Amino acid sequence: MGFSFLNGKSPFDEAEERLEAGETVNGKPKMPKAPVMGWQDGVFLLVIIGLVIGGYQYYQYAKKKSADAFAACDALYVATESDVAKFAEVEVCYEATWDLGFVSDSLEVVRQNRIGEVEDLRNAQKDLYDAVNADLTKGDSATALKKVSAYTGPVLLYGGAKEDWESLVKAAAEFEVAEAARIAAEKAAKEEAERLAAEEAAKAEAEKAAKSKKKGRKAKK
Amino acid sequence: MSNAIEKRLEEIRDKFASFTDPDDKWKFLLDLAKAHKGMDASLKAEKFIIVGCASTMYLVPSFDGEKIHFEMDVEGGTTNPLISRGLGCLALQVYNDMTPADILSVDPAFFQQIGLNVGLSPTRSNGFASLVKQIYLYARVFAALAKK
Repeated sequence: MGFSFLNGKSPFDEAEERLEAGETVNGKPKMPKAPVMGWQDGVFLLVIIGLVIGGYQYYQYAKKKSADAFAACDALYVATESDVAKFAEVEVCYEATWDLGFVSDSLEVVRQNRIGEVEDLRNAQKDLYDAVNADLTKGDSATALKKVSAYTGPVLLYGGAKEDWESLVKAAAEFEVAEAARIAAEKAAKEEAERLAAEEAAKAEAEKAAKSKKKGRKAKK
Repeated sequence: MSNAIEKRLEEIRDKFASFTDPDDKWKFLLDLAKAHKGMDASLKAEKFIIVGCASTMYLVPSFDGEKIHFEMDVEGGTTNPLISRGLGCLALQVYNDMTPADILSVDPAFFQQIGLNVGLSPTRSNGFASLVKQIYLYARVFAALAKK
């Protein structure tokens, strides 16, 4: 069943029908009253109102979605204070916000600055990675691995460089263990040598004392 | 220094002096970046890439015998490097369509004096320095060509 709130006619059709039927007022043909608004205008107005409300609702939805996404990234950024490894997640999080329909200028500033900060950290690690490789090329692996061990920043290198870095970190850890063992062995050897030297010295001192005692007795006689 | 470039520097100096919030500077750069039309893709040749920028920044010069015109654009892969693009736009606001002599008359420390480097990440700072260096290089080359 079809539905029409105007019974299939426009208000003008109805007025015309009445005039044709001879309806008069004070002997004059009853003039049709002009409607406040034509039905087409009404429909158009409804569409406009719908679009405005829909647009506003979408704007609110996009704004909330954007605020939620940025809040999640912000939480990750705050977490980097205790865990620098989170910087990689921060970057991924902010990169994902490029698809958002609405980003305010303030949020854009935050996004640009934080992505920039991650970029800086990556470049700093890249510089260190290049320096480590230069040391390795020179054959100075001890200096290279010490530099790797001393690095406390996040791992933000890409692809092959990242894999290389992870291998270097493992090597540096092994190097540290070996270095600690070497230092401990050296210390132990030094202590042993010192103990032996002290023993020798004590022995020599005792012999010397015994000799002088013996000499003293002979002199008395 | 000509009046034209002095006027430009004064305008930019006044603009930066009007910033009251630390974010104002970034918003200004974002606005410049958003208003920037970019450049024709056919101009984006490797030889025009600024070395030292984290993003891929193109700077294409053309010289009409008097002034140097620059086309600039920045690409950031999946990201939208608005700050870098904004920095590029700022450089063009100073140097674009100026004579080589005018360009060379500007002390590059101008940008530090207006506080551009405050809070600017080292990567972007280095990138901007590379861009300015390249502009001066082109100015020297075109100045030499103009003398011939």
